[in-house]
Amino acid sequence: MKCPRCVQQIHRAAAACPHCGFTLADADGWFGGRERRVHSLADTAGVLRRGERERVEAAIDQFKRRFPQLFVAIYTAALGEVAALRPFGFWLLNRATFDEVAPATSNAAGILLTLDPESKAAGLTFGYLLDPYLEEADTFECLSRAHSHWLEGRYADGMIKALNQLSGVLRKRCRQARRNPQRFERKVQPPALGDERSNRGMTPTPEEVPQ
Amino acid sequence: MKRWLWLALAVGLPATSVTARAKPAPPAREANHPDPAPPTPPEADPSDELDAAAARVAAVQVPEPAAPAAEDSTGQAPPAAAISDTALRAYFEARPPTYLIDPQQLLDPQTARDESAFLTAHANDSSIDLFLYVFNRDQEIPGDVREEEVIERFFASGRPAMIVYYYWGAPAQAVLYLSPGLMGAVPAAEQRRTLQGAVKQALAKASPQDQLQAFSSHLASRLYWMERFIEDAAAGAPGQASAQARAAKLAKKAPTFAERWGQWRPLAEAIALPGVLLAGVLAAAAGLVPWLRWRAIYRFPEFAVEPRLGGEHAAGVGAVISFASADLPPASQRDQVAECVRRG
Repeated sequence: MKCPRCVQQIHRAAAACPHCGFTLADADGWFGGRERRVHSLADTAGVLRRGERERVEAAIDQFKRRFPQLFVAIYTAALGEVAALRPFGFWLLNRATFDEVAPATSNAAGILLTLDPESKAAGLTFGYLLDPYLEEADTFECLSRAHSHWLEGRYADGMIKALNQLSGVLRKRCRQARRNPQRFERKVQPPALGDERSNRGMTPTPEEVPQ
Repeated sequence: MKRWLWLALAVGLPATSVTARAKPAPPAREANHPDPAPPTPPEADPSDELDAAAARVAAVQVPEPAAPAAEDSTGQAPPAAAISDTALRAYFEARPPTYLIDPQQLLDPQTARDESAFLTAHANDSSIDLFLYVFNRDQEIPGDVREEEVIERFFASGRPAMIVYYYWGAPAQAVLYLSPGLMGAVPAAEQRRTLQGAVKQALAKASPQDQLQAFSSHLASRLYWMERFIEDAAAGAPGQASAQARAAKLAKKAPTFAERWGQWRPLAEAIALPGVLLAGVLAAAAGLVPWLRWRAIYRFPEFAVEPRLGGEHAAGVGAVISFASADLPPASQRDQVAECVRRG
């Protein structure tokens, strides 16, 4: 777990970044405090043409059909600075209401792809539901698949590639979680009291995991 | 000696044959050996004689008159050039009852017995008889004897035959005829090759006895192949009989598709339905698995996660990638930090 602002490691349930003191309130100050309604595919930067938009929406629908628990949102905006992508994604996924998402579905099941054509950067943010299943490396792999397309300005192709890769990663994680859910549960549960190795950040052996 | 011989010839003394037959008989064919003093005829150049023989066969078996021999190969006086009327009748009056025709008794008795036995044995083994007319090397067949007519008259019926006029001591002068039944079946080239081969074999020997033996042996072996050739021709085409035999053999060995199918039909019928069903199931499974995987719905186990940084729904920030430059690898800009944070 990393701080969206300073990208330093933070501990579970940290109310604020122990390194830079960043909280959602800081992001509210930068991007606006009130709730915002957005579409699942919000192209505020205007990088998608009509046909491309339909293709991307089809990819989002297919993702939703395959993972009915989750939803994917794509937001393009001209933020001006690459470093603002993480705090912006963090803020938007917490503050936005997505139109095409069922009201019963929490943003904790969301995955947000933010793309800034001005600073030429893109980032992925995900909710708490996927905290045990996704690593930063997984999200970087998804963005890498889109990199060559985005370099050439083919944003829609890059988004579809990133979504396909993300779908593959999540399918794999889902099968693993079905076989061994404890492995993922351990990532988000607080360490057992008195477990020195867990306190030091070492992974406990399966026998040591409380059933 | 030479002078005496020519003198004898000039006065017409028929002394040579008599003298030749007064010689002791040579050993049998198996133990045959050259004469003690076999003189090689001075005019007997093998290549010239081969050409001469080929020319004679090509010219429809017209024998050339032999050059007068200065000296008999056995070292005795040359025989008389004329053939007596008695001998001529024996040669050409009827179909010969034996395979060796030597009414002048030019061959010594042992050689005659050996040759006659050989020709008889050949006739027993082959369907083509071999008739050997023996003349002396300087004899000529009289002009009123037409060889073709003789062959036509005596050999048109009965077993097919090869008739050879062989000149004792001068195999290159030999003339070969085929009975009318064979004439059309054996090409002239084959006849020419047969005679040339026989003459060549004979000329490789020194003594007239050995020459005759080599000559007739070669003819007998060539007659065997000639016989095969005629059989193929009778079957339709050269090699057709053997091809048919091979085809029959193959047909006997390799069962037809129907026969093979008959062998496997009960088993095929027994496993056909289960096999088709199994194949259908496998094909359906092969197509179904990807379809099911594509249609699959994935659900994650949900765990309680304590909120961080004040975020109610999310704090899990993923990677950021820059695509500003194609020269820089994407990984080089993974952890972008705000300027205010970097400054401190």
